[in-house]
Amino acid sequence: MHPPITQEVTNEFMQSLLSGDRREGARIIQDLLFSGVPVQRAYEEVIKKALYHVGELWEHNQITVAEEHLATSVSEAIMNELFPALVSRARTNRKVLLGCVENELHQVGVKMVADVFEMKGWDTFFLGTGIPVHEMIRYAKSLRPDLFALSISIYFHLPVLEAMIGQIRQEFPETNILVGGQGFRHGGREVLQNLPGVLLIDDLYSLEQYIDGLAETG
Amino acid sequence: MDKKTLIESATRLGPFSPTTATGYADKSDRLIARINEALLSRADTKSIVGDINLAMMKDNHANHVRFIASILKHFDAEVLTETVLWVFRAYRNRGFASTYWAAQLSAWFPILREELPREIYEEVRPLYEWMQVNIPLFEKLSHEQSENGESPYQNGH
Repeated sequence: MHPPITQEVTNEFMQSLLSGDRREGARIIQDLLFSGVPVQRAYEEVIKKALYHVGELWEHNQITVAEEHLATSVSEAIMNELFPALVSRARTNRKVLLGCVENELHQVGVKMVADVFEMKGWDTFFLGTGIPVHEMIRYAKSLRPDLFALSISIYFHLPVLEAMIGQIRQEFPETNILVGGQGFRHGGREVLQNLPGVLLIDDLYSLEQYIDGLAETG
Repeated sequence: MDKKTLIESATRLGPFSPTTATGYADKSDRLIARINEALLSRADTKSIVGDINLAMMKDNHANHVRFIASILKHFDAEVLTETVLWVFRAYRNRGFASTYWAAQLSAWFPILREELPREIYEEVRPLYEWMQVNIPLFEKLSHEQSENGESPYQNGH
């Protein structure tokens, strides 16, 4: 068990994001990983927490939209730097197609999900934001993924998510669909309960358990 | 009244019929256009939303309609209450006056009555009345949350 990541580390990381200091932010994350902290914990307890706090600062008008966007883009850049080191050499030959619900603007969370799949040897196909569902499905028909993973950060996109799942289901009736994101912070989980093959993932730790479970069951 | 009581009062507003959810969502573009028109025609708009916030006000109207459409489809009293509190807090911190909420919610009633079929209007009216009569409480609770540093982000998802 690794020691808890202190609030001080998360705060320092957040300051590096807000000042646009990518090198300092990358150093903080690299130091954590070098000390043995798993990537999932660095993502959950440092990057995610810092970005949530950035959201709070925007909410309280303590930072501008530009600073909020800067924090997000620096976070993504740091994650991109980590990518070569976290990819597993042992490949499973399984494919996951990931994307955000149509109209979403936030992709950091689902990008973290993609990285966890890569760590577990899956091939990831990350479509990001702004992908129309029919284009995702068209691409999926050629890819034939083993799994879909969709992200929703805003509650009022829930009907869009439902419609998207319905359309995917028509073409891929047997393929499981993982769903997650801040959109479920206060509710909406019951909407997914009656949808067969759709699973809500709360965090990266649950995701890891799910992927490991798939590996065990073959 | 505290937040718990407010959420309890909200539970009595729904669920809503599928016809109402669909009927409201189908009118989304028209509703957004009408509420923008109504608020922009007021002489005091800039004073109640702030000089540079007209675009943000229009964003809020579009988000309002999308959010209400979601709530009508999947009613959830906690999501409703927490989201309204978040909106009050975030927009106040960006210079929106409390009178904006009264102006906006008052403007909704004639628009909804004219745009929606009567039975749909009658079903959504209590939801808008709930938001309208609770403006002072939303103001108070969202202030308290700001002062206590309480935020939905801290709860994770």
